[in-house]
Amino acid sequence: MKKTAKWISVLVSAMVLASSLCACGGSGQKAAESPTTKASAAESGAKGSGEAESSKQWKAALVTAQKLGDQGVTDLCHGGFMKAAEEYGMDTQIVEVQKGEYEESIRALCEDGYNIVVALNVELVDATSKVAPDYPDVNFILTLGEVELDNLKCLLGQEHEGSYLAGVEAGMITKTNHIGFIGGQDNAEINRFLAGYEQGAKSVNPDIVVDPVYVGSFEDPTKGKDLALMLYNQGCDIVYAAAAKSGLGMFDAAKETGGLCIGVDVNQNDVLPGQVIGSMAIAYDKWIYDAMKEIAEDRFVAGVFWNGLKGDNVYLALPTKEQYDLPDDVLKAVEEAREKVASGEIIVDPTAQKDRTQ
Amino acid sequence: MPINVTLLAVVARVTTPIVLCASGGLYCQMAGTPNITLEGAMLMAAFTGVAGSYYTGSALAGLLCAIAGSMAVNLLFGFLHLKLGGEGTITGFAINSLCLGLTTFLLRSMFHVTGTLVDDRITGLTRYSVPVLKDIPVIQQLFTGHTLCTYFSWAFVILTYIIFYKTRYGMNVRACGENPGAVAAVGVSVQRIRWSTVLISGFMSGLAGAQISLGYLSMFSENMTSGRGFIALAAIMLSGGRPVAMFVAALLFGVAEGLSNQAQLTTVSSHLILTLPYLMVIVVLLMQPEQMRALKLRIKQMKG
Repeated sequence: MKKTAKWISVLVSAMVLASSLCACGGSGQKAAESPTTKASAAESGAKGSGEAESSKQWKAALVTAQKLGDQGVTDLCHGGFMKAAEEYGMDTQIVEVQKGEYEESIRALCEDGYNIVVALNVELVDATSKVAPDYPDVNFILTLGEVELDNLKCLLGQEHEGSYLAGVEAGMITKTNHIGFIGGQDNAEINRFLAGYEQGAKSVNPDIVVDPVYVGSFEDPTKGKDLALMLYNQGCDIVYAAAAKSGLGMFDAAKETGGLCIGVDVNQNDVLPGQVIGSMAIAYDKWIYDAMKEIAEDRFVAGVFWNGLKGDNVYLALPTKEQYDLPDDVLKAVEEAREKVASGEIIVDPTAQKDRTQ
Repeated sequence: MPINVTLLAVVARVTTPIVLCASGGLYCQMAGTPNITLEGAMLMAAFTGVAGSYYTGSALAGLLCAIAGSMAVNLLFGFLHLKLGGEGTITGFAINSLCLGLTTFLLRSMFHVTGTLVDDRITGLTRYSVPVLKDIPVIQQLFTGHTLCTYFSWAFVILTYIIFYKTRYGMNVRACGENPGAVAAVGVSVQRIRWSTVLISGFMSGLAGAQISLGYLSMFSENMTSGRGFIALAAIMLSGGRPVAMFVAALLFGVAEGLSNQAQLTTVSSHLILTLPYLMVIVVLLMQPEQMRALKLRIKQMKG
């Protein structure tokens, strides 16, 4: 009796573990499975009509470690990807990869005949740069990586340029001459946002104090809120968060204290009407759409590309009159700064003040 | 560094979920069924709480759903561990990963979003201020604008102390941990006592989860407990089963977290500052009486 009970418990535990694996794997595994079935279908199709070579059939795959449905960066990228794929009649495949399977998943897609692989975000940089040299015929597009390969296009944002405008705006609107910044991690990528913000604010308001703090995580909204509350309590009247999910805590803190805030990545102006003075948006959809278009039109250029204010690859999304009524002089100053940065008249340093070596 | 009085409010906020689920887990620990599912139960509660509040529009219903969600997780733990005799740590580990996966999965299938659920339909818990105390400077930070969960967490520590040392039930719980044979010999069911502690732990983790997703914020985000259940576990281990010591340990973590937030406004590297709360846990672990004794012994040996 005792023995059977033990076996049952072992079995049930195993099932629980297995089911939990499936649960986090979720659609990722499902998505990862289907390429094989699709590929076999494509193979049999190829056998049937080998002559269909003339007009090249593009098979595009989107690989992401962050899941779709975030109503943020990932969904934006997906939008750009789908738009290009539809326009050029590409076969599409979307794979949400799990930690530890990055490289295998990308490799599997290449093996299955996908000739456009779009990989999103920093998590996939290593895996993509390892796989890409082995498949010279596949075109790779990678966001947020800096790898030089013949068949890889790396797309990066000049977030400091967009943040410069946010800084100009904050520098003019602040009444306490004290503004805050919340970063997800203290690293070079996040500090680009800080660098632009600082320089923009100081360009219109030389005496302004900018206080940067970091959550240490991109998915801890509780701590994000704590930090935002602290900044508001310390006298900051505007806070700018570049911290993904942790940044959502800032909106909660603003709601409680009545402080102003600046959104990031996508247009977050509608999150808290009356208190969001702008969003430093990044046009990932446009980047990916443009890159895929290049491939389809056979003018793909590999290399590392920095997308800035020029061409609106990053931009400051201003609130509508109903969301937040910006004074005309602020609007004018922001527009002037935008023109100057885009034309190269103002060059924004991507290094934050605290990281500069004296 | 300007130490702001709001530090107290931060400490109260940070420690609430930790104290809540640690004091529940303390019962399990004392009854000899160490419960490492705190993190999972709390995350599940955070989710079911938000879901309940979303569908009913009532914070109270959300709170009840949170408790139910966490209780369900603990029932599963009790079933596997107590009923079927599965190893506690492995079962607990399995349940923690189940909860992380399941909440992610449910978030997506029920609300069709990933990552985060923010919606106006989620009603947060009401904040209360304690009359009289809220007008005293400095201390007012502890008594203004916190949820009932926060005040309850303090009361429950005292209650736990009384239960452990002044009641027959508490005696039985402690006896179950120290000598289950003796408990059985006097005719008390060890199983029943242990089941009760698992359920208490479920209830408390439920409150903790609700405090995170409905009390402090009004949203759910994947893995939003971010290891707070494990910090609670550390507090339980540190306390050696004493409720007040557990509270102090949780408080220490809260102070470290609050200080580290404020220290970020200085020029000290933020990389270093962000490790402060975790360093604190290690330091306190090293300062345990047994550890100190062992250290003294070793120093003596080295001298001799």
